[in-house]
Amino acid sequence: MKKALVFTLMAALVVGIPLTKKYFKSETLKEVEIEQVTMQTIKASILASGQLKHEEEVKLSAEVIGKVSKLYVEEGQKVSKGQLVLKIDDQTYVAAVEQQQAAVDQQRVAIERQKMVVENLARQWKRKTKLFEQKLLDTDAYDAITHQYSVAKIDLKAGYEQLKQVEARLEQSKDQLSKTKVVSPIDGTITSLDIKEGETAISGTTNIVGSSLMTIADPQSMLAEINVDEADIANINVGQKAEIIAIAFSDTPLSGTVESIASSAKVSRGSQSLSFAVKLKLGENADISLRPGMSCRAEVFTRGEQNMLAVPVKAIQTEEDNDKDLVENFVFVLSDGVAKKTQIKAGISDDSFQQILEGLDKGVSIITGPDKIVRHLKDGDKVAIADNEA
Amino acid sequence: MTKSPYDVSEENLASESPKSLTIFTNIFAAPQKAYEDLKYAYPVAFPLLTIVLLNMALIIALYATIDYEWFVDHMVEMQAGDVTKAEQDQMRQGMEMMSPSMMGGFGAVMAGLGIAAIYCIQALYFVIVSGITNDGFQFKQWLSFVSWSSLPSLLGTLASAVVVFTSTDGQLSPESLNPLSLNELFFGMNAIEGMGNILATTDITMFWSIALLTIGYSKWTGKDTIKSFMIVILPFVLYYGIRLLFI
Repeated sequence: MKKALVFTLMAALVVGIPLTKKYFKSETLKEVEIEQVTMQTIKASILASGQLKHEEEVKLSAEVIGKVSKLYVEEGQKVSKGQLVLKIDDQTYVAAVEQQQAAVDQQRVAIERQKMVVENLARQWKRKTKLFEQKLLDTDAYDAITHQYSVAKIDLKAGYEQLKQVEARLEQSKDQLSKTKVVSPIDGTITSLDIKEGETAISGTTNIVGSSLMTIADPQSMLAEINVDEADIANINVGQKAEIIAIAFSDTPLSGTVESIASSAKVSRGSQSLSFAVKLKLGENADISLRPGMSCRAEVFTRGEQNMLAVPVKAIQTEEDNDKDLVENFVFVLSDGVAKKTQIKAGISDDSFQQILEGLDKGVSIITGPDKIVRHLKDGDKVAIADNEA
Repeated sequence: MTKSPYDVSEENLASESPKSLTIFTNIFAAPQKAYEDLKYAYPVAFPLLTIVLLNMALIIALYATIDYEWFVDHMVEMQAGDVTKAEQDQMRQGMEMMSPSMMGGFGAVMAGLGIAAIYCIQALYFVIVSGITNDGFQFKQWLSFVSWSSLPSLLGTLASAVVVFTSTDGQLSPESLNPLSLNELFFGMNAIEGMGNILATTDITMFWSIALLTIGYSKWTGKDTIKSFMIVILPFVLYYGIRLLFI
């Protein structure tokens, strides 16, 4: 009897307390923020990130190897087209020119000498031809002089060809010598100076130290180059307005216009998806010092301003059904203290609002936050409006 | 010849060992009798495995029912005050990499090992006390003693299971799962930290276990109830004292 009583009490404890708590304790209401469905002005836009760049920018690299003997510019200095900016030690190249010049001279002397040999043999050949015709010279001797004369003429021809060869080498050496003087190809400013006097400049295109000398850019030609995802590129057109925010000046939005769209896609760094490079020309901007290489994000407005039925973006939840390949959007409507899951059809959006095409009427109260509650809200959950909303 | 109360020979055990199920019934309804029986035969496996397996089953059931996305957010939120935003994101990513069943399996194994470790530590404490008082009891006897005395904790486990199985939305936080905890029954404090957390991890069955330990200790060693209570309560005082210091 006693045992039965104890185990009955235990069973009551185990089942009774949790069930009593569940069904009789006043349910904790989830405190939510609400907003009404209203007409909003939406500027449909596409967000993308990229970098500020100079439209006209050249990277100078060395075409010959050598120690930098003189640097005529410093970073930030303005330079004009054709201005000497850097000189590479030319001792070796001057010596090479002199050597090739001497070879040319030597070849010219050799040709003069061969010319005299040919003239001499020509005279001999004429005399011996007359003697041969008078039968005073045997055939062997005549053939010998004829052969000598022909070979001498060929040697002269070879001498001329040899001269062309050494002259070409001389031109090559002069060209190498001229490349020891680096000049600016454009009017602009030195935006990056990657080498110092005494360091060795290395020719080549690989990114090794010494291969890049400096970058010269036209500061007036600053633009933003953003990477637009291939899914969005169809909505971008030349001439569309954009708002650009350089990360360094996040409080100062810059105006811009789409200037060009790349014709082919590429895989941008740090991403696996394809994107198109879109160049945005910067408008008249506030007095801020923009520098190439600065990170920026841009909002390109793909459609004009429109007044439409909309809800805050944060109120919209998405449910994916991978089996049916369906993506459904829904919001929670506040109805008699209960969150009612309501499916919607969403249209265009901007940073804050999303257009409602179907599912909601103007003036309906929808639950917009806080995010941590909305994210886990279920259809039929009892909710209360948060104090700051009441 | 009079038999020693500590005679644990096979012959003695065979002749006097009551069934574990009888002890199980008596530990709740007639504890004096249960400890009398346990003095001669002290099975460990039955109570220990019952407690460990039921707790493991509870954790697996919890993670099978839980709204995992909500749970991840809840766990991250619990750490929000102590870690940076980047660390929270890392924690979220780490948890999202694990499936609920994997998390449940891992949690169940950890809980099983934890319970066994706690009982071993408690038994070790009684072994040390035995060493001082020379009462002749050994580790296995004390482990059996502690395990049987902890059986009331099953009520908390079963009550938690009722909460899990009657949940409709799966939004169950482990720290407020036990409806028999002091926090759930009386205080309703924030169970995530501080005093609320201590109260949430202490349920009323603990007092039942302390009472059983006192009765059993007194029965086994012949010490009076006050002395037995003082010895039994000391580890609990130490444990809660340390937790209070870190609030």
